[in-house]
Amino acid sequence: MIKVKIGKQAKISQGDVYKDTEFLEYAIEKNGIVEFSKIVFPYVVVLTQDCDLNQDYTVRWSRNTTSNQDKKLFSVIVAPLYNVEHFYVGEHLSELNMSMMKINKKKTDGKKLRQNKTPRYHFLEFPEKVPIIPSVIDFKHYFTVNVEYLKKHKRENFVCQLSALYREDVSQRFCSFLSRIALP
Amino acid sequence: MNNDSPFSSEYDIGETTDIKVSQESRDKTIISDGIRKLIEDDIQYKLSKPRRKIIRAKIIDDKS
Repeated sequence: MIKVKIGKQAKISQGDVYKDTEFLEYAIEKNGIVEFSKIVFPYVVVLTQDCDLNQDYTVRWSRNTTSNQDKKLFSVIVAPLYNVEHFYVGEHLSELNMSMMKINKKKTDGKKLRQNKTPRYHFLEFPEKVPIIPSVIDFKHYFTVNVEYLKKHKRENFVCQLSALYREDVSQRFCSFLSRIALP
Repeated sequence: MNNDSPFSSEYDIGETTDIKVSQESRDKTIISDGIRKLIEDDIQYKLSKPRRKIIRAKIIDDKS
């Protein structure tokens, strides 16, 4: 079971978990009609490095002005958390008409998943005080969110922040996943 | 069809339904607690998964 912080800061932090975060799939305009398609993810976790988030916060919102906008970010990296029971049966994206690989929770693949030995995924079991059931982060599904949107979104949709070692574990495994090299 | 809704079709709560008619008023149909729970659980089940929302808007020329 992981440890979390419930207290909320104004600034976006690595390890923050938010609910109902939107990802803009596309926005098109044709014949005077504008169409937006958004995917709403029930839960996401922030993966961007905390130092980058701190520096961006200083540039944007600190009382001390900076001489340039060199440290400003355009967006924040997040990844979705999926309900592990949906995940085992490959149904976690069924509302998007996507059928995913199944993992037998009782066999080796299921055990490896829960021990965080599968590079693509990170399993999290939240303490009872957090209203999230055991979940899996899929690193392959990372996406980015506009900084200002996420800061406003945080006010009403912050759930918790993963505690220090746990968020660093997620971050390190995410980086390893991104930098993997497939050899023939 | 309301494309903003997280669920895009009418609910199908199964082939059999258990709808009780109030003895006090035959004009009212009361959905049994069991069915209500099924519907609420189904909503929660669907809302606990990522879902797509499509929004369309018409551009109106500003003639001013």
